[in-house]
Amino acid sequence: MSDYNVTIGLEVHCELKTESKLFCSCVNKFGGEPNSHTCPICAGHPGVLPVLNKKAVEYTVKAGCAIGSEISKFSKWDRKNYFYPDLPKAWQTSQFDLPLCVGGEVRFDVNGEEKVVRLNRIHLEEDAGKLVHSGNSTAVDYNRCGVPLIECVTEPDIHSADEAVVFLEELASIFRYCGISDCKMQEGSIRADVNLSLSKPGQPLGTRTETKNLNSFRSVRRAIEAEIVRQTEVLESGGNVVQETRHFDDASGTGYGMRSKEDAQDYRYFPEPDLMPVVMTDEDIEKIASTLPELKRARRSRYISELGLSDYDASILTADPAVADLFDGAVSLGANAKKAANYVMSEIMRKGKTEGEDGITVGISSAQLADILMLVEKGEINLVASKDVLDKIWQNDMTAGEAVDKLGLRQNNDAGEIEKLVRDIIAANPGPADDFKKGNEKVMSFFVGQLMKATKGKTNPKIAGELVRKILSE
Amino acid sequence: MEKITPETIRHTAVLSRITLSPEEEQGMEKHFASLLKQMETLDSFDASEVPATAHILSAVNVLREDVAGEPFDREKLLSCAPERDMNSYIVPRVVE
Repeated sequence: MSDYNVTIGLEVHCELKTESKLFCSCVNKFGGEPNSHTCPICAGHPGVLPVLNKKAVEYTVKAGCAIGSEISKFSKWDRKNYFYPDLPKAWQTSQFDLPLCVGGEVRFDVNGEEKVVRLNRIHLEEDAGKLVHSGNSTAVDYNRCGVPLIECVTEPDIHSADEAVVFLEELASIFRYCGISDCKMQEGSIRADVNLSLSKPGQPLGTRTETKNLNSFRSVRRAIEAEIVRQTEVLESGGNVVQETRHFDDASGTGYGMRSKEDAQDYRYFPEPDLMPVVMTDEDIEKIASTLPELKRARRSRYISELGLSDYDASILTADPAVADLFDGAVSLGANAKKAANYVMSEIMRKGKTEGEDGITVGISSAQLADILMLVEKGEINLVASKDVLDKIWQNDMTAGEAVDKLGLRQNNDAGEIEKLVRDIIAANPGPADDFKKGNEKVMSFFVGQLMKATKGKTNPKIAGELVRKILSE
Repeated sequence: MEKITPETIRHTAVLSRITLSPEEEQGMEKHFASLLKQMETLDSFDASEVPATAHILSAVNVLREDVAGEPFDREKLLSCAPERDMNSYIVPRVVE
């Protein structure tokens, strides 16, 4: 299309899943009746004293450790001043010049090539409330106000909508693996602002625009694509791109600039007098870093190189940390990696997929999964019966063996009894038996099917097949 | 020290969401200039050896454990609002 280079930087906001808010003990929970999770601190009453949530600081540092940031030994709090009713204090408590994490990078693959996006910083701040506009008035709900939020600012290292989306997916996955955020787009717990400019090859970067508050990966992609087209048209027609804040309307698929130039932001940051700085020692940082799990990228390559899984299977298994943990646990308990992978990707994912949810609900433990796989392996139940077992033990702590007994599913592997049944079936079906003797192998499945029917599926199919063949060949 | 100009006054007024008449602007300009002049006294202090200070107190790491407390009485909070409905604050419609 155009011969412009696209340069994109992202600001990603991500809510931390602490129990309580950043500066008060109100519960940090999505939804609820409007203003039911508020107090004088998060509702911005005068004279209150905020106190910092220790866990929120730890989670931010953990995020920084996960992407290789330098963790600040000394960081402080600042007021970012602006008037908008989503913040009752008329300022957002944030971090300006001394954020908790500086630098870092995220690696990911786009179209088969490894790409690195550098992070400028991660800082901790409070989220704002929710506004519901109707007619001439706006209803304000401060339940989300004061929820801990990390803002991750990238360097302008992204050059396409594809790269932006894969970067965001990777970042969200890192935070999910770290257990610091659910990164649920539909609940607004991860949102992004897109800074974008165009330039001719070899020329300095062009003027950038900032499209704010994109709350789905799809919106990010569409907003970037629309803005590239818009800026290209402006430049091609001899115009200049104006530096401005823009919004993207998901319904129409177009962006629009904010109305007045006076909105050019001037936040007049100054140090927050109500909060004390945070000082970290090397030991503090090490302690937090030691809680980092093996992240998605590392796990995926281990599944491929050590467990012999395909790239595709390894990607599916590692998409959700709960699924990866389930799989890893079962393998470490002795399950065959490939069989466990197949079972997780078919049965567990089918059962755990919840309507409208991003992730997979994992309703069994690694030990339960290993049990099921072992029962199938030993021929005590077949794969079809294992689905009933899975239903039975899902979200409770019954063992697979107990479920098999309760459901009466244990396979009948008594060769003598089965042999008698096979003989009866063959005697009752002389035609097909004759066909087999004439070389028609296909009738095998008929006899196995008849046997399964007679034993209500409780016969090990392998044993059944061997017996049928043996007796027919007599 | 930055010089106080009519533009600085107007910009500050916009950021503060206050409207000033031309007379008030002039008065404000003088007022600000004299305030800044007074602040210039600080320039006579040699702070080149003083490290940047983030807070006037020396305390650091004042933190609380991440435990959710009892909910506060919403009615008490909402009753402070100039305008409200059943469970929300009501403000004039502002769309950024």
